[in-house]
Amino acid sequence: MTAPVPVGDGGARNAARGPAVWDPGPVTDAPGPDPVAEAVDRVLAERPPPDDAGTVSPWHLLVVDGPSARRRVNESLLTLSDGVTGTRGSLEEDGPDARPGVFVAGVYEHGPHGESLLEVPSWANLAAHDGPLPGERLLDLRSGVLWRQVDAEDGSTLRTARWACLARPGTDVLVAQGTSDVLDVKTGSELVELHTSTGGGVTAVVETVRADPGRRPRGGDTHLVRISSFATSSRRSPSKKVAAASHERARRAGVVALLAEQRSAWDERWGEADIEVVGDGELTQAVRLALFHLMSSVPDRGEAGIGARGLSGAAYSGHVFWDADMFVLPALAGTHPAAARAMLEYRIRRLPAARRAAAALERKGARFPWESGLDGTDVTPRSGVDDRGELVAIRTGELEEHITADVAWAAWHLASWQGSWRFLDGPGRRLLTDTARYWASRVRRDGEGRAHIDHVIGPDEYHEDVDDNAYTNQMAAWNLRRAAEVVLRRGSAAEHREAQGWRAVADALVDAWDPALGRHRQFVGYDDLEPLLVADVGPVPVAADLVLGHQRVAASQVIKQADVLMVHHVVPDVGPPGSLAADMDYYLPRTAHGSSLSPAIHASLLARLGRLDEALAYLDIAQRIDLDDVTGTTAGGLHLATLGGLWQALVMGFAGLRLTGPDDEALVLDPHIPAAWDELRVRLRWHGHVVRLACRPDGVHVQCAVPLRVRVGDAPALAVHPPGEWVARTDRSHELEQEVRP
Amino acid sequence: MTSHEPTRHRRPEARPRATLAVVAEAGDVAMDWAPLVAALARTFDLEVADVGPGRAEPGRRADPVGLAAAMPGPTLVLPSRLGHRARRRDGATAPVLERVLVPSDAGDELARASATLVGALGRSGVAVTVLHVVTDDNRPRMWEGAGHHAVQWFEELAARHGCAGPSLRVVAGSPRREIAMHSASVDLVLVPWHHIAADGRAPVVRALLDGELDVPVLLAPLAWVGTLASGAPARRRLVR
Repeated sequence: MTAPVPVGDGGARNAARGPAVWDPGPVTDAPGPDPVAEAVDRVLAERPPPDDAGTVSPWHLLVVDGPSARRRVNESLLTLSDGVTGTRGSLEEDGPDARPGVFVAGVYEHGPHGESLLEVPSWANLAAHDGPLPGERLLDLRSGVLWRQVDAEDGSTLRTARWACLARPGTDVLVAQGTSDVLDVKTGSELVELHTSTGGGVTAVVETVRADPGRRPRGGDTHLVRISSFATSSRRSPSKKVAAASHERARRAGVVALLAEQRSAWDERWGEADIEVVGDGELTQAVRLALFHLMSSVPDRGEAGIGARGLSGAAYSGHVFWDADMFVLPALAGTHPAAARAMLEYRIRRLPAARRAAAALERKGARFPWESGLDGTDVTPRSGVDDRGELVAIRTGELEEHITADVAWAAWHLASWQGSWRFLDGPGRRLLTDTARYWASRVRRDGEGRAHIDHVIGPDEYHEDVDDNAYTNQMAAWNLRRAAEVVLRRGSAAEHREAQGWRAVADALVDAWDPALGRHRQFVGYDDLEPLLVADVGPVPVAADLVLGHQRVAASQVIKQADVLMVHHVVPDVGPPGSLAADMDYYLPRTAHGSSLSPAIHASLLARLGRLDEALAYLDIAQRIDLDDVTGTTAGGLHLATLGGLWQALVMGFAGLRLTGPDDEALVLDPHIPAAWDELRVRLRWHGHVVRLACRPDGVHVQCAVPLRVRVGDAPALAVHPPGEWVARTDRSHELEQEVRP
Repeated sequence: MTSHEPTRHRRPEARPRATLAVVAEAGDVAMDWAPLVAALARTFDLEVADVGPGRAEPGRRADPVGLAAAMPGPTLVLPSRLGHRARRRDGATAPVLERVLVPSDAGDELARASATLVGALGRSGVAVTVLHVVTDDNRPRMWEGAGHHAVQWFEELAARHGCAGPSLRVVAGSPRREIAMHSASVDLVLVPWHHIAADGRAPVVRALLDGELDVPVLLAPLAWVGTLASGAPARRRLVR
């Protein structure tokens, strides 16, 4: 990396480049209002008024700064991203406990833990005060602006507002006003260039201007504006011209206009992607916080490799897991499909690496890695440590193969939301066919012609190297069938023959359903393990592997997270009628929820089953995972998959939205609304249209600008005309689900 | 907040000098430990007060936890002999303050206090090991794996305690046993505590002192540690 290169004095450059909102203008004998101070005042005047005491604002996250072990957790929660960069919510003066940083999407660097997402110094630092100032910060989710207010007893004050421009990805703004004892900042412009060992880099123009001291409207206060513009590239040196041009456009617009633009951009997003749980402000706040981070973390153009912590922290090194495909992507497919499409572009561009990985194992098709970064090769660590620092082998890179089917599922899922074959007939086709080809070459045939997948790890990572894992086999079969469907729509005779072969493999694959048991078996030999229930280990969530030790937990029936039940979540029609209830009855008491991915999925499935009290209990765990730092690792970034799971639980579980494929002719809903809620309101995009749902136990009010066919429960689909209609539920399908339990 | 009036935040104030209470069985014992007591007084800017003998009657130890709870500041409980802590320096036997063990349950309060103490000791050149004993009460509720999750969990645990990874030790088991075991290689066990000796409180502190460790134990009330934090020299960072 190269060091930052200062390029001169900002004041002189301002004059040379023409007027901007903070330009001081000509000096006169009778100084008028300083344009910088005026702009700062106008921005800061837009801070939302305080919320009523004791209430949780569903649009605001309020954080009280002070000596706290939560400082780094708050930094994650207050991250501002725009899909290109993510700036952690550190205080402007940070301090010794801070973990400031800016993470650059898609740009990786070789570091001590292998390949990791590039982190650059924060553009938002200010020279201010000795150590962190106590005060309050408010993240306004509606506008994506982080407001800060400090009022010290000695009269010192500091007010800041900052945001990552959603409409101008890569541009960030900070305005500040404070007494001169807390705000003493050099002005000027810097060109920052960083080059990575992987060939990529970042170029940033960071410019700070300050109000003319001689024209300050109030004695002693300092007003300043900083605009930072980033140009990034994963594989080559980013253009200085791009960063400079972007910066010039932003400075010409001025911060007042940039704030208005920011509000408008977020208004547009929220207009298509909101959830409000009427009667539960805390839950509404949590799910809006989730949506805020999901939407701001993922770019909607080019490719988007979304790491487990998005752009909010260094944990997980920015590596891309199944979290992206199965947890984050569905939420974006249903709200901002362009972002979901960018996520799939990341996978499409890494098909060559996936094909090489399959070939290296002497298999066909494409095998996606458990963890990937820049080029799509496997970057999963081979060893790690337990809670006492003891060395532990990590075998997920070698054995957790279900991600290959997960990628295919994600492609199909987006097409289902869009109601169009265009993606699957075009660039997404290979995601299904190459993965199907892999599974067809991966299975082992026994003497009776049945197909098996040996030596894998399922989502339940407590049990390694197992055969015929229910999730892996079911997803592989699903992958094979859907790929065949794609090929049989359009393909050559040879391709059709191959597709028929895939169907035969899918039909032959052991599906883990045991009619005698009346449930799915998680893997071969699972029922022979120690019949331990999680209640014997502790209240959930519980890190059972730490309580029992790795060996004992592996020898027991306690599982880490949804495995069999995960199949029900992503393929709702899997298994015979009643199998969800049967599998839930069996596996829920054995699930430790040692993974942050687990509670939301269970909330979703329990809601589908009408077990609403239990569903709410798991939903509560899911919504608090980052807010309460349940894993002890939120300081390293937000659990983006948990945030996506929370959205899925509310939409797929409580609202009961169900997708089958691109040919779905009706919007299928099956609401299960707890008595504690007045209404569940959802805004989403289905088949290209913005749809507003108001779900109640007895039906759904559906609004859309175009006519839709809507089915609620098992009733026949009805036509709903603009501006909207109430669709009553006329069946008791959720009760039937329970009645047919074996 | 109840109105639009901004909350006024108090800035740190200068702290008064605190007193280090020294509890020892007898005056000559305290004299033996004088170099260590002096080092602590320098490190934490303390005045030293000898609170008298540590035995209530022959053969029975007084209640040092109760004594410490009655003291306004930190309390140093000295063992009856120097033991292996004595070092040869210029031919004389004297205890030193070079290595300190700070146990923590990793809760917010103790972690914050540990960070303050680690900082103060570090500035004096003392090597500190923070010992976190994992128990049923403080075990992580979710453990997502031995790879990235563990790396981040350790990093954050160390950061919360103000120490780099190598000076953080995590073990599982009985806090009393583990602290006693790890105290064998240090000159002082420094225990941040809530300063409450009522029945049922401070069980680990009580168990440690009842166990008659062969090492001095400094009980550091959280309120006193808080004054160290507010009075600590702050860093001025001029980034731009």
